[in-house]
Amino acid sequence: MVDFSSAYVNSVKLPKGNRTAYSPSLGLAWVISSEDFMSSVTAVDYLKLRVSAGLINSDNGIDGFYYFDNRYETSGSYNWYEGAWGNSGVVSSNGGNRNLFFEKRKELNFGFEGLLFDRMIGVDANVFTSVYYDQVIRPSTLYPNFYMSFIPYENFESNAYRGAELGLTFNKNFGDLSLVVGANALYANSEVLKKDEIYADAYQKRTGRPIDAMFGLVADGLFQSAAEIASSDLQVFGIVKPGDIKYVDQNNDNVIDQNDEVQIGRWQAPFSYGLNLKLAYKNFTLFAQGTGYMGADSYISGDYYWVDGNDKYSEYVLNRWTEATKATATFPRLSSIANTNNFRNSTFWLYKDNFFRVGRVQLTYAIPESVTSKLRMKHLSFYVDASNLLTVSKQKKIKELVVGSEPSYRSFSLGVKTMF
Amino acid sequence: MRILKIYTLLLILSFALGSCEQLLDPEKDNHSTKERVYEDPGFAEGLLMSAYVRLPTSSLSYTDIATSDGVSSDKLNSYLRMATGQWSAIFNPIDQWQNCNEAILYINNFIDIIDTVAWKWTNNEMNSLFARRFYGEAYALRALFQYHLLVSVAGYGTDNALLGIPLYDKTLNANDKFNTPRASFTESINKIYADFDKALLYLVDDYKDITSLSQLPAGFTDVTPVTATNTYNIVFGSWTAQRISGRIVKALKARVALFEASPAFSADDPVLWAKAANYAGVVLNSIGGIAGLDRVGHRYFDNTRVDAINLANNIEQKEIIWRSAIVASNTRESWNYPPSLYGNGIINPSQNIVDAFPDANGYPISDPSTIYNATSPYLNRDPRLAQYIVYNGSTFAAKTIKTGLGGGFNAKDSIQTSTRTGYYLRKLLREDVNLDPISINTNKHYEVFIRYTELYLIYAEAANEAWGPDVAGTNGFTSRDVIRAIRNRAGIVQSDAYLATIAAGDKAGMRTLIRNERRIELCFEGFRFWDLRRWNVDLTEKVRGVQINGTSYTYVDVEERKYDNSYMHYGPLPDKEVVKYNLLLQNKGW
Repeated sequence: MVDFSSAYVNSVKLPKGNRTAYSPSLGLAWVISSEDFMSSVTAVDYLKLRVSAGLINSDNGIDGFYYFDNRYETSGSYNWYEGAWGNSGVVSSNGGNRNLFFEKRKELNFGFEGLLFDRMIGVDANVFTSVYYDQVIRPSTLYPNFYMSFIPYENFESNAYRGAELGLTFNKNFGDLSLVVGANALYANSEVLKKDEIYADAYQKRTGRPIDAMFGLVADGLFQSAAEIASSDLQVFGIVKPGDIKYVDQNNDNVIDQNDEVQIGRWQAPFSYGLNLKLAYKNFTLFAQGTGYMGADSYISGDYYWVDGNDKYSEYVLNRWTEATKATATFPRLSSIANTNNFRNSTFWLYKDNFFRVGRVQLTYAIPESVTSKLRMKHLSFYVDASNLLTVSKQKKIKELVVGSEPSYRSFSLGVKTMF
Repeated sequence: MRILKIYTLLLILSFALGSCEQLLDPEKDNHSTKERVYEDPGFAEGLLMSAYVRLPTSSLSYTDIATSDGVSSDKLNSYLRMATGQWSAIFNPIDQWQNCNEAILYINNFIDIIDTVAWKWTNNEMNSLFARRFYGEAYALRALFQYHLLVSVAGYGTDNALLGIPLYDKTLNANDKFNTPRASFTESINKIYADFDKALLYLVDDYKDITSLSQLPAGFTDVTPVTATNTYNIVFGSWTAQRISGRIVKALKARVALFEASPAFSADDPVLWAKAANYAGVVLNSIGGIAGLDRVGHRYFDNTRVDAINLANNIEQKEIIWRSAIVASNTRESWNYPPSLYGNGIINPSQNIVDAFPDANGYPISDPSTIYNATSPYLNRDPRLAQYIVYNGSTFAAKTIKTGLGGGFNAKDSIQTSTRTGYYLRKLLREDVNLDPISINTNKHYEVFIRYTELYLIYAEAANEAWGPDVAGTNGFTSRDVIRAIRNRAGIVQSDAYLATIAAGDKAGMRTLIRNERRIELCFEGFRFWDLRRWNVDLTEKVRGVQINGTSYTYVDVEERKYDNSYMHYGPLPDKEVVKYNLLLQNKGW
């Protein structure tokens, strides 16, 4: 099977002469199981290989019109003769770029699906890779900061996404017992290939790291005394007192500032999986479904955890640092004004965001037909259903606590279903 | 075969769609481009306005609280952070790099179009007058921004040479090379003078209406002919006041020359000092020398003085060389009023500056001959103390302010907005502003860009360094004359016996006095921070305050000044810019 499609796309967001682009894509599939030489392989009921590739041009990332033009606007004003006269300042809002072109995406997918052993086992697997490139931004690191208003929109940044998916189903009857088990796993990763960035220290570069990389300071406990502060590297985020978070100097310049932020985690889980189960025995049916995520990190933040000044103080800060509790404190000192040293992204607030959530469990009992027919019903069943039943995580408390909006809840329901 | 047909069809179809391009133009959204600059003179002038908009003096920056003159009651204030050890190339609240360079960029763009734009297409004469003034303003402002940039970054680079700023005097295009090295300090200074001097070829000293052609300043008959007074008045007349003029340029030249001659940048060079003195002298002599000193110029911010201004009737304060237009506001008051008057008490003058005010006879309070009495420290003092600073027992806005024990919200350290030193600011505040939420009001304010007192002090400092206290040079008055006049104006009991104790050849003694007068006269106007740096003196003097309990005065340390004297006399370049461009050298230490 061959599937070829192509589009000749046009975008009015681009300059004349660059408004059209050709986007072809091609898919090939081969049902091997239908081939003659496979007829002798009885274990394989169905097997299809597929591969697809495409080059896609898009203007989705260009969020406005005339970005190719050097546009001017007014900004600020100066008055003279006691304000009887005045005029607005005129500045460029962006530089012009006659070469602005589509953002592009290259895609390649490879996969197969099959049914094995008399349709007992189903397999669906897929490997994908896509590269987004020529993404439109205004590259500030190519120009001095004072040239900002003249920086043009350029096709510049590039990111890659890669991953693999595997789905398995198992389907079998054992007498009165029928069992369907499904499992799927997804691994998806990303990488920054080209970014508008410049850092003196290589460890700060986002290029080569996942797009969702989290950058922050590495915390090294809490300062225990003024003497310890005096003998440590200078931290330049605000007032530092005993009980404040101490950070690690990454570039050994004896000053702790934004240049000491390193990758300390990532926002999105690269690995996720799902399980579902359907078990039927005579008139009983049990259904359960759950999903899990692994490899992501998150910060605790917000006024519940980052409490200072006139905020409401949560129980989370009970074990704060004081002279008396310095050995056991798990929270920095409290502060009557904003604490700009502690409340910033650092490993102090970081937690591993791995969890498995049982989303739904349902048990159904269907009244046998012999009874329903007497009741002149076609069908009658009772069920118990629970959603958001269980979260398995080391950080269950953080995950289940919602501050400032509707709390998360578990719901249970009992139901009757009839048909006449 | 069939596939091929489909393929061909698709291709044809897609090309057919591609040819609809004309139908697919974006809707006109009325955005402006450079074209408009050539068609709309108001819009073209906007490029120059972009420089005026960026004047660093257009809002007062209280860098004084990053010195020993004061502290901020707001613990998150960026000057406080800077002064307590967090100043760096990443965290630099006094950065001028982007602001000044941006202004210079737009000025260069403006200079490019002055000759092309039809400023007044119906009147050739007026058109060329406009072009003339615009050239003058553009060069003058470029020099001014180069100066402010130079002040913020001039210093010894990592190559140990005294460096200045990168010099841009052309329009920059996106594909130009931006990796430009900094010019040397001397080249940068010379560029500033060159731009000022170019500006003076075009500008007139003062924007004033003329009533007959005989009143035309020089250069208007031959260079830019004028045949009608009205034509001249529209371009160079009084309604142009508060834009940069020849007089302002001449005054700014003195400021630049003083900076150049200062110890941080030049070995003690009498030629440079004399240049600064003479630049100031020329302008001062144009208003009558010592006699021209505004008798109330040290209180130019007083209610009555500000309210009396009326440009239409030609009433302006004698003190002013250049200022912003007047606007009604209460921002400064809400910042600095004591908490009992609904202010935020942010700027707290220190004991250090209070101690800098002499006694009523003009003797420093540490001098054996002083009449200062430690048990009533605010009695018998230089009147300027009471005019500039609110202390324990002062009457402010018709209320008595107590900063000692039992003073309520105003007492030292009682609430977040209370003073941390025992003092509140009075200077530059209008006491007829009411911040009480039920009857809140605003009053007239303006920002000073440059005033004569500064120019007198420039003269005093430079003349003393060049010739000593009592040599007039070619200007007809001496450094001592200026200081005498300023102290006399302040109300020091005459005949200023202390001033007389400084011997005729005592340059150093006079220097100390001049620097102290400068500290007092220009306090809380953003001078002190840079003065300490150009004088190359200690930056780490601790800020002190006073704890008052009845008649007992306890002097306490309030805040450290954590500067590194080995390199912090020179400011940093922005960290990111230095990383981007390897030819752009950072100053040593940063």
